[in-house]
Amino acid sequence: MSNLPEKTGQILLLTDFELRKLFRQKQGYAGLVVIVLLVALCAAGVYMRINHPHHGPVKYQGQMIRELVNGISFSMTVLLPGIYILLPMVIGIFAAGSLAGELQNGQLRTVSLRSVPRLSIVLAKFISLSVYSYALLGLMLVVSYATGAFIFGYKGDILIFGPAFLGKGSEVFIMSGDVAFQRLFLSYFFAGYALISITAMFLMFSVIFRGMAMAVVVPLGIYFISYILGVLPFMENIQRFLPTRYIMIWKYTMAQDIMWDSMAGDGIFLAVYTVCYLVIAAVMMNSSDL
Amino acid sequence: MNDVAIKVRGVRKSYGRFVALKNLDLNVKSGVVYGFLGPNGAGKTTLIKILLGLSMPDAGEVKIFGEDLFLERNRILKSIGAVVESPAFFEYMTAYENLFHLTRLSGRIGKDKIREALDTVGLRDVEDRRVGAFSYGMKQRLGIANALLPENRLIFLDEPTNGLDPHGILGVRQLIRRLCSERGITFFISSHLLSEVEQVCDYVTIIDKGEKICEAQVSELVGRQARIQIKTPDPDRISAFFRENNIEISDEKTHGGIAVFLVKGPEEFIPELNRKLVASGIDIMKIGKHRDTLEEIFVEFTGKNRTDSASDRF
Repeated sequence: MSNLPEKTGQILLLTDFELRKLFRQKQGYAGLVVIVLLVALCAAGVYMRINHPHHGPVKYQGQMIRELVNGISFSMTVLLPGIYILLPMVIGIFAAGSLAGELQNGQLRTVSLRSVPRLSIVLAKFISLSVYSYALLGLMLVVSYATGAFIFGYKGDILIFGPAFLGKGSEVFIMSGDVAFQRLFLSYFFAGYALISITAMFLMFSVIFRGMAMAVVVPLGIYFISYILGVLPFMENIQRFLPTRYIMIWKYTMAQDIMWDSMAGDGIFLAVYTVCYLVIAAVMMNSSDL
Repeated sequence: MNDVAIKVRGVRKSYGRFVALKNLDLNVKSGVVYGFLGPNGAGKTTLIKILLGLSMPDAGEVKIFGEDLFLERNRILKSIGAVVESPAFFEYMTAYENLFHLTRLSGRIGKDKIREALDTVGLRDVEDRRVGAFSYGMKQRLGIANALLPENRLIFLDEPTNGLDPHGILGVRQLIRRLCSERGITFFISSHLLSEVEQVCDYVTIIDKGEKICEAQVSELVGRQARIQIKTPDPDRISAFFRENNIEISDEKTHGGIAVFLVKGPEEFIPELNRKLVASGIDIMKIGKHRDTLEEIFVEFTGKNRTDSASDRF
C-alpha cells in the first residue's frame, strides 16, 4: 500500500504523456475534421428539409417543423449518427493506434523499459482515450449547437420523436426549451460513457492482435455485426448479449421523464463489459512478450 | 556495490516447439563491456528481453545487481537502460520531448541532465527537431542517450552499430568505451560481428542456437586464434615449404590457381616467414595477420560448420 502514491503518480504521468501524444499527432485532428463534416452535412440536410418540405409519405411526420428546430434539436440530431457510427470508428482507430500501433512499432517496448508496470500503461491509455472521447463529444456539442443556433435559432422548444429513440411504444411530444438544454448535456454525457466502453473493447483487441490492421478490423466488424443484429426483429433473443445493446444508454434522456431505472441497468452492463475488456487487456499485456 | 551486474542461471525459453535458449548460465562483472556474440537467430535478443523483463523465461533465475529481476523488476529498471532491436521513439515529438517524457517515468530528472545526455551522443544541436526527421543513425544515438538516463549503471545495447555509417560506428564504439571507463557503466552488447566485440568488449560469450559455446576474455579469445594468412600462386611449392619447416596448415582454399593458406603462428612471426618464403623463391601475393570470422570460431569450438546459410558469414 505504501507504493500507492507512487503508482498513482506514475499513472498520472503516463496519462499526461498519452494525452500529449494524442493531441500532438496530426491524426489527432482527424476527429475534428470528420465532426465538422458531419455537422455541415446535417445542417445542409435539415436546412433543405425545412425550406423544401418533402411531399411524399413522411416517416417521422412533424419532426422538422420550422418553429421546433433550433440549436438544441439540431445538436441532438447530430448526436444520433455521431454516436452510432462516426465516433466509435474514430475512437476505435485511435485506441488501436495507441496500443496495437505502438506494440507493432516498438514504442511500447521503449516505454516498458522504464520502471512502469504494464497495467499502468493500459490504464493510462484507457484514461487518456476516455478523455479524448469526451473531448470529441464536447467538440461535437459545441460545433453542432453553434451551427444550429446560427442557422435555426439558439433556443426554443423542441419536438422529440420518441419512436426514433425509445421504440414503437413511445410517443411524440414537445419538450420545453429549458428542459431540452439540460437533456442535451445529459445525452452527450451518457454518449461519452458508452464511448468509453468501445475504447476498452478496442484496447483489448489491440493487445490480442498486436497489429494495427487486425486490431481495427475485428472489433469494428464485431461492432457493426452487433449493430445489425441489434435492429433485426427476429434476433431479439441474442440482442441482450450484444455489446452494442447498451451503447444507446443516452436515449433514455429523450423520454418525457428520464428513465433512470433503464439507464442504471444499461449503465451497469456497460460498466461490466468495460471492466471485462480491461481485465482481459491487462492480463494479456502482463503475460505477453514485448 | 555488487561486483556482479548480471547473474543468469539455467535460463530456458521456448516458442512452441522451438527452443530459443537452452539452460543458459551467465556472469557479468560490474564496470565492464560485455559482448554477447552469435549469428542471427542464435537467441541474443531473446536473452536481452529476458534480462530486461520484457519476456518471461520458461525456467531459470536472473539477478541484476544481486536482486531477483522477476520480483523487483520495477525497482531494478530504475538503474537500467537499453536499446532493444531498433530504437523506437514517438516521431511526432522532438528528441528532447521524447527523452523528457520517457525519463520522468523513472523519477524526477533535471533538464540539464537530459541536455547533457543529448550532448554526450552529439544530438544537442538537434534537440528541438522532430525525431521523424532523424536518420537511423541519429535515432540509434538518441536510443543510447535514452538508455543513459536518468543515471543508469547497466546498459543493454542490441546490435548497437546496425545501420550506422563508418563514422557512426566509430563514434558509438568510442562512446561505449568512454562511458565504461569514466562513469563505470556496465555495458551488455549483443552483436554478430566478432570485430566489433574485439574492439569494444572486455569479455564475450558466444552462443549458437540457444546454447553457450564459449565464454572468455576477449584478449584471450583473439590471442588463441593467432593465424597468418598467405596468398600465393604457388600452392604446391608452398605446401612443401610448410611441411619442411613444420608449419601447421589450419586451412587452405584454392581458386583459379591462386591459393590462400592459413597457418598457425603469432603476428611477430610474419617478417621471418616472409623472408624465408622469398628466399625459397615462392611468389607471395599477400601475407598478414588473419582476423578470424565468427564462423571460424564456431568451427573451432563446435568442430563443424553449424551456421545455417551463407547469410550467416561475416
